[in-house]
Parts: sequence; C-alpha cells; structure tokens
Amino acid sequence: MSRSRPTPFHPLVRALDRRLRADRLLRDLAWLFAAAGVALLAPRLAGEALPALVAGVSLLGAAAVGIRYFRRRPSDLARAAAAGDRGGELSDELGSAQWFASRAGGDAGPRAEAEAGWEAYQVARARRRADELDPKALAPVAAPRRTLAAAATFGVLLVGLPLIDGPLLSDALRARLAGGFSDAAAGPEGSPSGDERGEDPEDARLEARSPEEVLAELRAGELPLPEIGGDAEALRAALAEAMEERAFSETNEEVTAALAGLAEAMDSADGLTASEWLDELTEAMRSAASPEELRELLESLGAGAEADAAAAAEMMGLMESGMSPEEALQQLAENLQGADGQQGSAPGDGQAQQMPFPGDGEGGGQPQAGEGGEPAAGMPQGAAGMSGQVQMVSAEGQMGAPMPMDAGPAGNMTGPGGGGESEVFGAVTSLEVQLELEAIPAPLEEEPVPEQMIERQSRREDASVEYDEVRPLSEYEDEAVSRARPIPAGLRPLVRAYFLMIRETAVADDAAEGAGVTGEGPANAPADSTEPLPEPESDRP
Amino acid sequence: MTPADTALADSPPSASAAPEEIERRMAEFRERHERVQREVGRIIVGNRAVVSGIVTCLLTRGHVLLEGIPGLGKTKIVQTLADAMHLKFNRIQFTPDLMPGDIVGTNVVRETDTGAKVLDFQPGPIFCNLMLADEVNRATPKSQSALLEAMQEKSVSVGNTTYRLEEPFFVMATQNPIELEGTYPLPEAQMDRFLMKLRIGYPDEEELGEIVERTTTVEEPKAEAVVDRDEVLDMRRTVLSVPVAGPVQEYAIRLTMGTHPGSKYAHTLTNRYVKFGASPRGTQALVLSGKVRALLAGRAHVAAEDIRGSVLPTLRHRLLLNFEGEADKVDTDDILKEIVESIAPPGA
Repeated sequence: MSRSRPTPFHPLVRALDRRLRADRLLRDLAWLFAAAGVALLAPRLAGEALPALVAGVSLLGAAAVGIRYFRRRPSDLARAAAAGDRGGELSDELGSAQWFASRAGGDAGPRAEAEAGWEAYQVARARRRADELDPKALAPVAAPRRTLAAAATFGVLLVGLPLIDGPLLSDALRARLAGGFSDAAAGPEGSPSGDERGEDPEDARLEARSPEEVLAELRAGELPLPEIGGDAEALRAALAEAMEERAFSETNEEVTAALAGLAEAMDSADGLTASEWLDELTEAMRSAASPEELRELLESLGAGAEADAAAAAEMMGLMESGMSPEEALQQLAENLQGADGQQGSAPGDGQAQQMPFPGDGEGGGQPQAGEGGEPAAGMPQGAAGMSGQVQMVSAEGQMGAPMPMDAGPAGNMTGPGGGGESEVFGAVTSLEVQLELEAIPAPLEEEPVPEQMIERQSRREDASVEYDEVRPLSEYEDEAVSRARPIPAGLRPLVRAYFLMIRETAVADDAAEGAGVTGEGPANAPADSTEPLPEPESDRP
Repeated sequence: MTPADTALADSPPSASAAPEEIERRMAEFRERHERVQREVGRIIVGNRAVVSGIVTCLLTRGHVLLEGIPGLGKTKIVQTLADAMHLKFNRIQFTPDLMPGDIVGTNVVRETDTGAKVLDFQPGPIFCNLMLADEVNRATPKSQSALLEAMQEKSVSVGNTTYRLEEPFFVMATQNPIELEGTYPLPEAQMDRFLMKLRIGYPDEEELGEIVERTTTVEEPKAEAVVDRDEVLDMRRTVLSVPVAGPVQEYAIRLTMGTHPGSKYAHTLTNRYVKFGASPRGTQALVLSGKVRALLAGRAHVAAEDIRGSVLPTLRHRLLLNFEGEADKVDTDDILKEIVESIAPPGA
C-alpha cells in the first residue's frame, strides 16, 4: 500500500485539511504573539543582552509554526476526513472512503480485489454525501481565547511602548537582570572562577560586596582593615569601586554622597565624622532604599551590637574594679586602639574605629539606649551617662542595654539581674545569642538496660506487619475446593447417625473389653434410641 | 451435503459488484433480518438485542452461548429462532451421563441381506443446521469436547471417517450461572469458539405482563419459517463482503490487545486482573460482528462505533481472570468497558 502521495477522494477533504491547518496555526499564534511581546519588552527590561536571546527564540518559534503549517504528511488527509466524520457525525464514512481511495491506487492484494466493488461503492457514496456537506460546519475555525489575549497584549505593547520614555525598570534591577542572563548564558563552565583568574576567592568575595555590606561589616567591627587594604587609600578605593558597581540611580544620590563622606572620614581617621556620615547614610538608606535594602542595613547594624556588647562588658568590668565611668571609657578606648595596632595595621591607622569612641559625649543622632537618654534596663546608674556611646540597635529599632557581668543571662531582661529590678526593654543581645540561650538542651543519653532493649525490640516486632505467605495458586484452589464442599443438608442426618453408630460400637467394644461380658449392652441398643449417648465433639462432621 | 451446497458455502464474495447490486443486497439483508426479528418478536417478548446477537452469530459462521438464570426463555428464544429460519433443528439436553457418541453418532453393526455384518454410521443429533446444546455445562468435559471439532471445522470424525456438516451449522448453547453443583465449566478452548456470549436479564414490568398474556391463553403462538437456508447463506456472503477500513481494523486490534496483560494497550485493570486476554478469534469476532451491525445500520463500511458496540458480547468470555480477579469478583464487562474508554477511536 503506497501512502507516499495520497490524494483526497473529494475536495471536501482538502478543504477540511486547510481548515485544520488554519485552526492549528491560530493556536500556535498564541505562543508567537507572546514571544513577540517579550521581544518588545526585553530592551526596556534588561538592556541589550536579553533581546538577542528573545529575538532568536521568537524566530525559531516562527519557523516551527511555519513548518507545522506547510508540511504535508500522508496522514493529514485521513485526519481531515476523520475530523469531518466527527463534525458531521458520519460514522467514519469520510475516513473509510479516504482510506479506500488511497489504497485503490496501490497494491492491496487479493482481499482488496474481492472487495473492490464494495469499496468503490462506499467511495462513491461518500462523495455524494460530501457534496452536501459544508467544511465550515464540519471543522469550524475559531481563534482560541489565549490567542486573542496574546494578540491583544501584543497590540497594547506595540502601541504603548513607544509612548513611554526610558527604561521600565530601575537601573539596579536591569543590571541584575542583565547580569543574571549573562551568567546564565555563560553557564557554570563559561564563567571563569576566581581560582582560574589567579585571584584569591576571598578577594573576589570582598570585591563583590555591595556598599551596604561594606557598611554592615564596618559597623559590626568585622571589617578586617588590613585585609581590605592596609591603608585608607585601599579602603577608599574599595568603597569607590563598590559604589560604581552599585550604580545607584539619581534617587540614591544621598546614599552615594553618604558613602563618599564616610570614605573620606575614614580616610582622615576621624571617627566622629565617620559616625555622623554613618547616621546620614542610615537616614538616606531609610528614605531612598528599598525595604529589602533597609532590612539588610538594620540587620547589619544589629550584628554590630554584638561587638558593642563585648565592649560594654569590658567597660563594666573596669568600672567594677573601682574606676570611674570616664576613666573606664578612656581605658577602654586605649585598649581598643591597642588591639587595632596589634592586628598588624600600620600605627595610626587604627582610627577607623569599629565602634563610636566613648567619651566623645555625642550620640550623633544614633539611636539611644532606652528612651530620652535614660539609663537602660539592667545598667548601673553610673553608666547612665554613657548611653549613646555604647549603643545597641535591635532588629525592631528599639534599644537594648548592656548588662553588668553578673547580671545573669543576657537576652531576657525580665529575669533577675544583678543591676536591680528587671524591666522589659527589648533584647540585649543578637537574635542568634538569644536563640542559643532559649534552646532546650537535648536530654542526656541514658544507657539503656538490657531488659529495656529487649522490650524495645519486642515492641518493634509488634509494630511490624509481615507479608502473607505467598503460595502457588493451586494450593489456594485446593483449599477453596475443600472448603466449598460442605456435607449436603439432606445427608447430614445420615452422617450423624453413622458417627453415632461408630461411637456406640466403640463404647460397646470398650465395655466388653473392660467387663469381659458379651450379650446385651449398648452395642445392641437400637440406633433410634430415645436416649442417645452424648455426642463427642470430635465426631461432629 | 451436496457439492452445490459446498460450493455455495465456500464461494468467495463477488469480486466486483455494481452499485445497484450492492444496494439491493444491503436492502435484502436488512429486510430479511427484520423479518426474522419480527417473527421472533411475535413469540419472544423483548430481548431484541439477544435475538439480533444470535442472528449475527448465525450470519458470521459463529456460535453463540446464552447465559441466564432459569426461566428467562433461553431455550424458547433458540427454538423460536429455529422455527423462524426454516432450518433443521436438533436439541441435545446435556447431562452428566451424556456420552460423545450421543452427540456425534456412532457406528452400529448391521446385518445385510446376505447375512454379512457391516458397520453402519448412525449420525447423531449434531447433524443439523441449528443445534441447541441446552445446559451445556452439565455434561462432562469429554462430552463437551465432542463439540470442538464440529464448531470449528464444521465436521465430525468418527473412527477413521470424517463427516462434513451441512452449512449453515450453528450451535446455540445455554448455561446457567447459578446452581453450579455438579456442573463442569466449559474449557477455555471451547469458550473461545463461541463468537458471542449473550446474557439474558430479567424482563421489565411491561414485558412481564406481555409474557403472561401470551403464554396463559388457550393457543400459544408459534413462529413461522420466514427465512430459508439459501437466504441465510446469501446473507452470510453479504456480511463477508462489507469492507473494513484500515484505521477501523487497527482500532479492533488495539481493543483486543487492550485485553492482553503487559501489552502496550493494556489497561490498568487488565494488568491487575486478567490472566489471559482475547485470542485472535476475538479480533475476528469484533470485525465480523461489526460488519453485521454496519449492514443493519445501512452502511457499506464498518465504523468504529460498530466495533465498539460489539466488544462486550464478543470479548467478555475470552478474558480469563487471575486469582486476584476471581477473589475480587471482578466482572469482565467492567474491564472491557474501561478498555473501550481508554483506547481512542480512529482519527481522534
């Protein structure tokens, strides 16, 4: 049977085929419109890297749609005829006729020869029926809803986008999108790693930090100044580079200015000015940054509280040793400077303090411990004047307070502290420390006694359900047969009498053997005796 | 059986018939079928589908197995159909002591006029056109197997001689699904030789009233012969002439393969409950039955709906359930319905 070049038995089949193709094209156009819309939007969304990709995909999709529309397959006509049968409820009349017509030209063997008359009759009959049919009614072509929606969206984009100037997304988001797509295009193999470029991974990480991260590390005292650059020039260069990478938009000029000021202050080793720039930067971030950026900043500042808590604890220790608060602060500052000098930085460069220096007496707009400069909870009265110098910022923006060394566990201010009555004024320590303290310790592992081990094992065995034993099917059938053959109800009295008779004989034999007498006895009793002997359980059928 | 009969029975369908001839044969087929239905309907209340199924089996060289509880008229339907077809009819009541010789016949010693003794073959009741094997499952497998050759080969072998049965030869067997005590289920080989297994159900309220009216009067109606043997054979040729398109035939094949556990068309229920599926005879039965349905619907081709409508009666007795299926009391009709739902018709 040759199916290489099928011919329709009636023009109706060809018309149905065209309508089916058109219907399929309309369905495919939904994807095409969607791809074209994305191609229009892409330059406004993600710069120049994405449009090339989208345009390529769109072209490929258009080519696929075109191939699907124009490709002719041997089964297309049969499918069209079947669609006509379905549409007109013709009981495979067109489909059968198309099949008979297509095999009429080929070598169909003796069977087709014998049925040739009937097949020709069927084809002729289907032709007469096809003359009366309307292909529009058999295979309606309608654009699906998704195609209409995609076309409408594409039209809106086509008309509306030229009316909008500038990018649709912020520069930052565009940069991220472009970076993400370029990374995705490069792939894990395509992007050389830091090791391959001959750079240290830690250096790469430091370079990749955002200004917010740099600030957070500065605030938390985690920024290793010697590592980022032993001198202020290196720090400033790092900050400038971070700012360039950050590429803030015009709305974030205040943030950029604050960053620049902070870099200059740190360059000039002016801790007070740096603190002021930090405050300004905080305000700028709060007003201009996104909620996510602001949350990151607050978290980083909260992390810095840990270092402040350590410094405060050290100061409390100095005060307990008999020093006045001013002296204790001075000593603490000297200790910190000495610590910075011991970390290997050049002498005199340690002015880039990790925390505001005590004794300057100005909070500089920093959040104050407690409210209105009152001493924080758990803090000795003598330390009241130190508020604003040892500062705590909780995640909620409320202020905590350092505690004396013997004030009990930090973090829960409702507990009895050594500094007097406890009051609730927020968390003292960071969230990690608090969670660690509140964590329930694991129960001690007890050595089980052997009896308990045996009991556990037995319980485990009780809980397990074993599989049923699988036996050959014949065994099941044998059992079924044996169970399915009860004694017929009509024979049960006979069976009962039989067993009773056996029993009486056995009793008689036993009696004869025991007494040594013969003659009348239970064995000679009639079977239908009015007083039958008790029936043993084992004799019941 | 005369040579003319044999030639008539074995003659191939006409190679090329004119359209007018085809239309005439189709019209005759429907008219004769309707005549039989009408005559049987005078005696039998309802059960038109059962009667049509029996006639379908007769016209496709098949045999039919009727199943139903006692009193629903299985034997009556078969007797009435035999009366309406003017064919030689015999009835064998299958009992446990029935012997194969009681069915196919036996050689008897006969003394000739010269005093010599010769063996003469005395044909059994199987030598007829329509044979009713009543309560076929009550005979022993040995006696049931006496039907195997007759049903498939249309011949009977006794001793060293094979006797050909007269066409049309059609076995209608009945069996009772209850009272299985003392019965012998039909072997699978014999079940497979029945083209259809038809189930007779209870009549509804209206039909029950009609039955009472017809059977409780002085004169009980009797069917007249409305179709003779030649007409039946002509109807057979018409059925075999109906062409089947390739996609429709593939659909029948897919449905059959849907009953085969492990095949790519097998349904989940098939893999779970079926031990053995339908044999190639099942596909033949689907197509042949579809041809009769097509002619009755006035079509000169077999449609997918003809195949679909033939699935239950032609395949239900060809599925052998496994142990799990027997334990869950699964009905093969339910499996077949799921298979029909799961396999797409041609062009879908």
